[in-house]
Amino acid sequence: MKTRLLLSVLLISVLTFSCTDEPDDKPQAPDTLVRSAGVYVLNEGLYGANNSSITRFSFDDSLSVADIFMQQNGRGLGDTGSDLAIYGGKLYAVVNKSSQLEVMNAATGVSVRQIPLFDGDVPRQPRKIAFYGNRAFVCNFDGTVAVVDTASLNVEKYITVGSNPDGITVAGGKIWVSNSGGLNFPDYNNTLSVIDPVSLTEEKQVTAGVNPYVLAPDSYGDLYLIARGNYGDIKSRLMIMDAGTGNVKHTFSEFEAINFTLAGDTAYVYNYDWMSGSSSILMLDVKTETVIRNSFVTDGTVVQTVYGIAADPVSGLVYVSDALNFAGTGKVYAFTSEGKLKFSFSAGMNPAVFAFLNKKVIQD
Amino acid sequence: MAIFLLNLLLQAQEPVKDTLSIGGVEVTGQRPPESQRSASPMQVLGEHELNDLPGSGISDALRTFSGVTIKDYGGIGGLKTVVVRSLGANHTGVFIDGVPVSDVATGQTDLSRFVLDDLQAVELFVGQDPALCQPARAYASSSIVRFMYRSQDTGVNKSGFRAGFRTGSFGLVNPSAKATFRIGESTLAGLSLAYNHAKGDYPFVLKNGSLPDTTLQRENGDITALNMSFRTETRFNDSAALILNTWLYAADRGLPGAVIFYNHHSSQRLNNLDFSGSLSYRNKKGRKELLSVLSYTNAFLRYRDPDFLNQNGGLDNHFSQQEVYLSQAVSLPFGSFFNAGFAADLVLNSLNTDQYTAEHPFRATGMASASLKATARRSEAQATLLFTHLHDRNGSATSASRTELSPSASFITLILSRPLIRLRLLFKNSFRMPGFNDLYYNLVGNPDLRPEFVNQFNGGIIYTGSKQDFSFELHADAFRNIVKDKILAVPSQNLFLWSMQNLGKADIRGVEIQGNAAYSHRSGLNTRLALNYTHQKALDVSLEGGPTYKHQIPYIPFQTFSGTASVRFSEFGFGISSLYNSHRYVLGENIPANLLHSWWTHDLVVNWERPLGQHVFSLRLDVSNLLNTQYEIVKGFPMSGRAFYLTLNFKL
Repeated sequence: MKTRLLLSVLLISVLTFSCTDEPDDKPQAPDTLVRSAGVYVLNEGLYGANNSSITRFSFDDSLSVADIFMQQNGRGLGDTGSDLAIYGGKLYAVVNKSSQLEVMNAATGVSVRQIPLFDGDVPRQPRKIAFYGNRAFVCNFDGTVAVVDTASLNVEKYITVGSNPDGITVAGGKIWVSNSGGLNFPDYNNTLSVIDPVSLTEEKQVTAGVNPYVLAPDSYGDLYLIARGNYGDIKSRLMIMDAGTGNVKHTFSEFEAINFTLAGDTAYVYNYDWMSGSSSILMLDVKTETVIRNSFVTDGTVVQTVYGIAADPVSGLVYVSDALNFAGTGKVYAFTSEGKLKFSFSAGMNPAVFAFLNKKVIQD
Repeated sequence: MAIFLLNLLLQAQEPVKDTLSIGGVEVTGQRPPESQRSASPMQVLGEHELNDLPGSGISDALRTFSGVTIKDYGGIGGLKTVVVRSLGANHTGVFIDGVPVSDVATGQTDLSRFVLDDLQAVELFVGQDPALCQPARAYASSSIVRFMYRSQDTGVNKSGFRAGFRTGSFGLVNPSAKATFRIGESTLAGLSLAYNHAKGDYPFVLKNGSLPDTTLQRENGDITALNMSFRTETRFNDSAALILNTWLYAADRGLPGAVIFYNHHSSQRLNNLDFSGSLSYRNKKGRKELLSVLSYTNAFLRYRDPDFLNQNGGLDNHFSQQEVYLSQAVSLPFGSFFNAGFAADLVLNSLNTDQYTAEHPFRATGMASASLKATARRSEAQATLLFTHLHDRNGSATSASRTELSPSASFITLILSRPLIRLRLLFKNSFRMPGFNDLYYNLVGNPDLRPEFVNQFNGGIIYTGSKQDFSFELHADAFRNIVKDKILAVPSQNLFLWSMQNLGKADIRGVEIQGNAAYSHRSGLNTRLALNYTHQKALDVSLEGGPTYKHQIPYIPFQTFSGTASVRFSEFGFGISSLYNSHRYVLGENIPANLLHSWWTHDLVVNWERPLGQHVFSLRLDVSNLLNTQYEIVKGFPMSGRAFYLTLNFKL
């Protein structure tokens, strides 16, 4: 009963949201619609424990497969997954300690290619991935960005950037990389590298906050990013930069933030205060650059250890992962944009990143 | 030095005793009857038992004891720490020849550094040694492991020389030599040297999902170590003895790290350079006894990770720590029923590294203990109160003080004399201070940590019997340990950033059963059988309703079993040992993903000892992990499969 109810609720929301899509965003044939087929969750696992995994939740049957990678490929994903994304029908998983880029068929999870990212025999430790044209850009902790041809799946080139890049995105026609310097305690880096996606070279470095991390563009020419600070007197903050000039526009100093996601005009920003063990998620309007709501969750659902966040562009649902005690099964909650819990499911250890599988459906 | 002078003045004129037996090293191969009379559960392996026990390191001896779990990262160079009755390694005090070994950074002692040669006895006390004249520090841990090295190889008046050579699997080369000589009338000196090199490149099987098993070789598991010790024993005109013990340990080893899927690169190195010197003086006259200890330790550790992706092109961390230790203990009779023991200790620790938030952290610990023992014909009761005052200075910035009182009490009584059955009870309260790493390590350390407290309860019976050439012993104990403010490493913002917190509570209940049987025939045939079984439920009771609530705490097997058997006849000795650890969980949540499988291993040894005139020649073959079992004690750290070791010894 519950499943059926859930499905009908989902379908309604799917229809609602697909109708509100901006008409000129991506021209679609009028008789097709895009439907959320499922969501992939990358579970980091524990460092040194070879237990990173990918959980898949399918809307067809509302069933989740705890480790679709293991199920489809008969082997483990590896040690410490750090990013997951779908591009051009393929699912890309960045596996940090195993130092691999795992490329799968997005519909099935079957591995197409395992791309080792090593410098001689020294692991480069890939962290995050972004796409532009027919190329994937993977930033590696060894201070490089690997350029991967998405058709041949060969590494074309390594571009040298700053130290320990820990975030990558496309904004204003450029590739932006956050040079965290995270392994240089206490002297963290504070720059972003700007890469030209045509010449495949680092164009310039611009100054951001201390220890830059996740970054993402809005649709108004801005680049949002987290600067993690020094874990001491410099707190972890959300900042806005001008994606044209590369200048810092604003730092939200009224709240601490360790991660965020952008969906349309809304940024969902979270913080986890490990001293008190409490999580908080707030909503921000990126058009006005003001806080919409200090507490995103409105129905009293308690997320113990918020560990990842993403919004499904099709259904509009906001997915929040909970690492609980970091040492066992994690949880994923799907909220409506009103902050009401829609459904939840169990994931693997330390669920952190989401990728949404959408399906084009022919309407009758 | 004032303490020593005082001792010399206190010496009474007693007739010279015709023995070299000196407190602390008086175990001479016979199972001391103490283990049958001790209110604290005690296990001993004496010289012969050690000789008949298969193994190539001292942890091989310790792991056969009941209640003991060795956390072993595999290989000869792999770190090995000892956990007793589910209490973390920080709760086990390790004493070498009566002098404590400590590490103020981690609070744990790595056993892989101690050599097996000349080991005379290994003892484990749960709670404490019931002896009255011992340092206050001997009461400060929840359990005590003692290693005692042989003071001499030859008779009382002779000088001697021993040379040995051990070699075997995975590139092991281990020559050792020891010279014993007299200095003047009353001093016996021993100088020993051991070099140890192993490649540690053992094969292991990698399992990954349903992929075919692949056999790989452990890389970067090599070790080169040098152990050097110089020891003197001086006897005075009474039974008093002064022992000087100096020890130098230098090692360079690879840290192979956890086995990682698709990435087998390993390049981390660890270097140690430790020096330790101690002087102890013991004087025993009837029921009066006096012990003074002075020791100094300097431990240097260097950790390198050339592939750490920082801007300096790798990590190169240095830790240098010093300890000065002073102890004065005395025991006295009070009437015919009572004996009392008093001890006062001072421990000074300092550490220097660039990896701490604190510059030059310093710790001064003052301890005082008072024990009272009442002895009747059939019973013995003992109560001890340990007072600890501790002062931490964290660079020039802050300082913290702490005072604790730790009581303990034990009782043993003969409840039946035919058959001989004793009942014993023990209560002990103890705590462990957070180590300097817990407090100050960059990003991880938490200077607000409190100590971790343990209450131990034990009740058991001891049955001993003998019939003609046959002797039999059975110990059965039930225990409960309650841990509060357990120090745990908890991820803070992400998995790259952990923090130490006083979050845990544990409730540990268990049963230990030990059975020993020995048969000695007039013809010289000696056989021995020892079976140890432990069942433990070590539950995390930190947070009711949490995902780990009432789950077994990580790395504690539910059941452990060890069985050892030996036969000795004429020039030959044969020994076998079997070990079993049930399944364990590597993390707090007891789910299949965190499961580590159970394992059985079997080791054996064959000894041949042949006198050649006044000299003795011996040959020994060890086979460890006879059935080539593939297993892990720590997740991601495979243990070695079957290995062979050959040892030659020659005594002049």
